[in-house]
Amino acid sequence: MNRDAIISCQGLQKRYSYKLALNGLTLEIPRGKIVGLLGPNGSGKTTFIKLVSGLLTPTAGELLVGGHRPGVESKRIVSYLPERTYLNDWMRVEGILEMFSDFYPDFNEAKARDMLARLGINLKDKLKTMSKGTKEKVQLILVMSREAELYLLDEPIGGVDPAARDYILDTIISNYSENATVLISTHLISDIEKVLDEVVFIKNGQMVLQSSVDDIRASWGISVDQLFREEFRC
Amino acid sequence: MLGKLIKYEFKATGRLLLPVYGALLLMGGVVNLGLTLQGKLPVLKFAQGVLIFAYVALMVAAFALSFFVVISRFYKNLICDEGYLMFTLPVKAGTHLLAKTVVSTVWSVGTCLAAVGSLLLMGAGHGIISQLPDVLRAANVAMKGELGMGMSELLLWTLFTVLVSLVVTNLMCYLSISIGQFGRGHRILTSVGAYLVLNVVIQSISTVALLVACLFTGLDFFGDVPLGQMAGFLRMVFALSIGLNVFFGGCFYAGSNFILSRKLNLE
Repeated sequence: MNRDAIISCQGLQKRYSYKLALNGLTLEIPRGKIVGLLGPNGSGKTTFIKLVSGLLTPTAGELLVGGHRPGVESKRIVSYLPERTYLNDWMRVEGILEMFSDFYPDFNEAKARDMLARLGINLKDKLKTMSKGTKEKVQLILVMSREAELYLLDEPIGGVDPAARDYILDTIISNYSENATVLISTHLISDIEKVLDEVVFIKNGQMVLQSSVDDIRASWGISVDQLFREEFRC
Repeated sequence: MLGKLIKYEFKATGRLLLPVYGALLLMGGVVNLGLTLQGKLPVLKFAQGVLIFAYVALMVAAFALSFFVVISRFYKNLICDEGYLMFTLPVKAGTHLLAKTVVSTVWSVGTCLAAVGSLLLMGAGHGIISQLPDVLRAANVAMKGELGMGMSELLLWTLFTVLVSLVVTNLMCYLSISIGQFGRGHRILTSVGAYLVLNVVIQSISTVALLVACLFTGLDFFGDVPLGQMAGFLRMVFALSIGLNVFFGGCFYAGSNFILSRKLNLE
């Protein structure tokens, strides 16, 4: 496996008691790119991201993140945004900033405070008093304020309004570390296509395509969104 | 990292439990005030009955709440949505478990101390506390004569047994909740089921262990223990209880650690 790639997996399998979610996935995600992990619902995107972030253990196969098996060392370099709100509701914003600073040496608190201030979020506010959309923005700011080597964003623009989607995409583009990789899992391709360098199509727990966005446009003469619709037509 | 986890654990649970401890101590003071005033205002005798009832209810609620807070904290913080944050911190699952075990033990002991403090506050200034040393001394002499074991030794054994039991009860709940996450869509029900099964298992093992210990020491498991052998029997029961609890606690800890490290499946 290529230890220079930020994510490297071979024959990766994840079986739940009720389903085979990943079925021998083999792929490599390079450093310094914004990569879209695209596939229909139930294709294995979230399972793959959870394996990379260390929330799940593989049933079979090999997986390396930054040259390490998922564990304490890989978690130090990975910044993960799940598709749900995962913050302690009872905490104030300043409390959660302190928590991130405590556990992540690469957390840039000044950057986070600046972004929160520009959104008009009061640091003394309790998270439980915020709307769902505001909490998601706070979460995104926390994740993108880390100087991580890999950002895992699971459906970051699902369930938000178009204005919020633009804000989220701008925040992602303007705040990730230069040599870092951003892996975005989504099925809302048309919104995200403009920021992607590469795409990985995943179906039934296996990779069906990995290509740069430019190559797709040059070879097929269509957008990634159109290719996705053709590939995953019902 | 363990220190940091413990710090946030205390913050999350202390905001709920410290006010309860405060209320318990305050209530002890209020009952004390009632005792003082009812001598001057006999009509307060009725109110005193209500106060005592409220005090006992608050005491029971404090213990129940203390248990509920630490257990629900484990469930909410590690098995629900917050688990996505906690298990992506650069910390081993075992460290999370250790932090929660340490904090839950401190709160268990804290609740007992708050209860004792509240009782002392209630009795302060009415001659109860000043009489306590004489009462304990007399009880010590009487117990030594009857059982062959002094009050202080009995208290020490009891305190140690209770402390170990408190830790192991929390660990059993943690393992039950960890097993519960396998019950897709029915996590709480599965946790309760796991708790009941574990309870039956440890009760069975404990009973068999006591039976075997009685066989080895020649004591009659089903009959009365002669007074002359009572001290030895009590020491055996306490030592067995502590030893078994330490063994069970180790198993529960190892089981939870294995599940959270290797079989975690957050919904």
